[in-house]
Amino acid sequence: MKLIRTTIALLALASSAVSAMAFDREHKSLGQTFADTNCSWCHGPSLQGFTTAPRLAGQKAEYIQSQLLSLKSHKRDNPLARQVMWGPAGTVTPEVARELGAYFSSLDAEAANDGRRELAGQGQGIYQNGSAGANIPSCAVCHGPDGQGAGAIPRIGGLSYAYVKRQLEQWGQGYHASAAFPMPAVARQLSAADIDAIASYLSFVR
Amino acid sequence: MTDNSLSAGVFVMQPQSTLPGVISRPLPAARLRAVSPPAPLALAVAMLVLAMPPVVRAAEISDHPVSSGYLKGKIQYCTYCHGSSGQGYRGYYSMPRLAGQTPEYFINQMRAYAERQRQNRYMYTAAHGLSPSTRSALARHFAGLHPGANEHGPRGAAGEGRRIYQEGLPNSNIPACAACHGPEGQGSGQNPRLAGQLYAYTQKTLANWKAERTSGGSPGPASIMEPIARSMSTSQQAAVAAYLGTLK
Amino acid sequence: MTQQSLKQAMGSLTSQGAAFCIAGLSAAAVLISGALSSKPVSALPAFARQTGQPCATCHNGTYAQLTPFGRQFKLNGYTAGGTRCNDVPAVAVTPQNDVQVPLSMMVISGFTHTQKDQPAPPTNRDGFANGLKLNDNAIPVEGASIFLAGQLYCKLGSFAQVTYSRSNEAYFLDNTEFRYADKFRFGTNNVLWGLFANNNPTLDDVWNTSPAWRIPGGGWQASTFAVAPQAPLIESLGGKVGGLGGYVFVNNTFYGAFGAYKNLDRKTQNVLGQGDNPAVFDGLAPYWRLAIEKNWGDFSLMAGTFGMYASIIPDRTQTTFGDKFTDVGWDTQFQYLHGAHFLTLRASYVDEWTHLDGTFNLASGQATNNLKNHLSQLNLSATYAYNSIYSVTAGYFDVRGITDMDPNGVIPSYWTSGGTPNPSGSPNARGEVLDFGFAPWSNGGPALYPWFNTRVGVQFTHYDKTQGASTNYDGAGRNAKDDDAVWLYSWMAY
Repeated sequence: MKLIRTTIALLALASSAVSAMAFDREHKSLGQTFADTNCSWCHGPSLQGFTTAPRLAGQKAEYIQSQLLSLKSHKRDNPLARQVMWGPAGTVTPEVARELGAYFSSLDAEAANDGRRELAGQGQGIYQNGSAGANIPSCAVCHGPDGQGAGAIPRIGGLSYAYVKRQLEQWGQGYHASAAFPMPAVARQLSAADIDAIASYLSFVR
Repeated sequence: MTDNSLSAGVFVMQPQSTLPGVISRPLPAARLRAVSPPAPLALAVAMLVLAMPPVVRAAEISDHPVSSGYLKGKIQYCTYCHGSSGQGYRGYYSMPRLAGQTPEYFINQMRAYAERQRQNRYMYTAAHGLSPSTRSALARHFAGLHPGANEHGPRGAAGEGRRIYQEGLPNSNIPACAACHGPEGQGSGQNPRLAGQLYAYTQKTLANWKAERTSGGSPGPASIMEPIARSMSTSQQAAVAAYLGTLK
Repeated sequence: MTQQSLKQAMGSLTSQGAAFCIAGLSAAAVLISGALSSKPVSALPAFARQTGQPCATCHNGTYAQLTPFGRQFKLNGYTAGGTRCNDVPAVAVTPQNDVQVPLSMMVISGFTHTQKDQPAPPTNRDGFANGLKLNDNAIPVEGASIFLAGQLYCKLGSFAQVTYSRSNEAYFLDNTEFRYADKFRFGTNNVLWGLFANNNPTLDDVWNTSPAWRIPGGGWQASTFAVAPQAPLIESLGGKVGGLGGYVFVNNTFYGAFGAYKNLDRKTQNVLGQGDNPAVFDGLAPYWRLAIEKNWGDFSLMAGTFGMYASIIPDRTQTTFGDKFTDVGWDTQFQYLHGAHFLTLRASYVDEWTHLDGTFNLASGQATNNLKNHLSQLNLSATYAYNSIYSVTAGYFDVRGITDMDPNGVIPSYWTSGGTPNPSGSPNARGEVLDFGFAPWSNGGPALYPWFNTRVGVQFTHYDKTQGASTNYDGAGRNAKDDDAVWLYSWMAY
């Protein structure tokens, strides 16, 4: 019993000591504090993504905001979003969304590098030029020549192969994006091979 | 079907490819200049051609039918970038509003992109595989669209932009834009509609006028715009762009 | 002593099941939940409330099994999603619909049929008849637990469990852990680290292959009448020891945990319902756990090792020598998670070498034939879950060891509250388990009470060998397969 009480006391002391030390060292932004508690356990300790949870680091601030709000409103409805994100996003306010957007966009992003290397060249071709014959637009026109995104259009360079692939496939299956146009329609134009190639290519883009 | 290849001047025509999934390689710029020593007759013809200012004929709106399925696909293809109602879209690049554009101007630009007189690798990809009939059909489609007003630029500048648009800049020898583009920016014939155009697009186009055109000279009426664009200051360009964005 | 006490004697921390019970449901629900909410929620429901996740995100339909996200939640100190911390300004943390009370409860009801009746009326851990029948026992509350689980304050979290066992007719402090976790960046490396205090070696672990959370095993529920084979020390100390330790998880790949354990004194053991064991640790018992995990695409693969060393003086009044236990385990777990499909394959193997200086030299007489013994334990299992709702688990265990016993016919293992009667002295045992489970609210609870989930199932256990023999293992004619059991259960969580 004594050992237990002592241990709990020690741990409590340690926790407050460490928290205090943390604040002396740095003033964490609201976004960082919120993300540390609520986001990093799934999206990775430095928000670079973890298994099915996509990288958030380096993402466009406006895009983060629009996704959080569309998850809250259930507009974005792909299966994992529904299962994993609807709950936590339910209590996000526009202010929190803004803070998170600001925080995530300030972080350095690492490329996932987990696509199929042999398809990267083909993927680059489709990404940069689209395919006029197949009515596939160039992704670069909206997402930028290096996948860097713009405004509310997401940065997709370096996202994990599985994530991009799943998103494109699911739009083709009829799941909704936060914006009704154009991505679901664009994704429907893509063949499975196109998706595989694009997702592979993007995973290597820094 | 009219053949516009004479206007190509010093180019070598790209073979037209409509195979799905084939991505044509852009013509390397260097090839435009590397010419092997020509035979005397060829040289004479070449010089004759060079002496003529390249002119884009007023667009001939073709009536040849285009299959509706094919056209529908092409319209959707355009809208992915230019907006579901052709209203324009600001991505990494700014894709201009096509809705309400004059068919002649639309077709001229498509040809200019396809023939690389107006430089844009993305529009080249999009345009060079389209037959004139398709271009005409697309032009007609977008001409008939009238979506709402677009994003605006900085509102404060619109007042000055309006003044420049209607009065020109006499000190810089810049005529009133309204004289060619219409009092409400609605355009006519080869002179494009400017009303409701994306602010970022208009501004960028004015700023990069020369850079976008090949060194062979600007095609036709657009060559008028080159000194105009050059003479406008950046803030004047921005002001006019802001004003135009407010027009319906 | 009966099979009943054999099970109790092994000191298992798993609660036992009983028949189906619905009455307790609504009462407890209202008590625990706070406000009703439209959130699609559900796991330890306290964790679900805290994170806003349904059970499936961390457990995928099989209670206590962890997906990669479940592992991350535990490694981050059970505090993810918590709002009880001063450094998060009130305005930024949107009010949750409930108060994030870190309390949860579970009730296990079950019906057990064994191939042959129990040889004698079942008894509780004190040796008195507990009112259960010789066979076909329908038990409304076979086990029930209350949990303090989740964020306590800021980065301090807990998973603490108090359990009531029907067959033992007793309450005891079950698996309990307090944990503080944080992370830092070292160059381009992410280091997740934590400190823990718990009462069971390998309780800190996040894979379901080491003793405390193994499936089947500590991370599982089984019938009151399940026959547990002899287990190595590292699996037998639960609740009787206290330990402190620390861990790091570098780049979500390299895991290392180190700790030290000591026995709880007799008075504490009594208070906590853990019985009254005279053995004491000679010094501290070090514990370690190393693992490498790789996640790629839909796959997750772990390979690791764990172990502990302890020198235990069986009775200080009778000897100053300690019995030395060296346990070394090797484990691996493979997971495939794609869409609605979830497959986990697990294997673990533990070697135990014992040097029984203490028991060999008791003043009251040598209580073991051998100075040195060896025990090896193999566990293999696989679980497939569909849509986090339907699951099937198959398991296989094989325990082998050197035959030994004391003059009373008891295998020397004073951690089993008096020892296990075993006429042959052989610990060898082998068997298979097959479980079908149905957990309909893994993806979100019922509208009226969204944090609720239940797992309803049927579990078959077959024993090939018990106490060294397939036939007549107890000397009175009982065969191993006579203990074969069918257990219908309902495992409700609030």
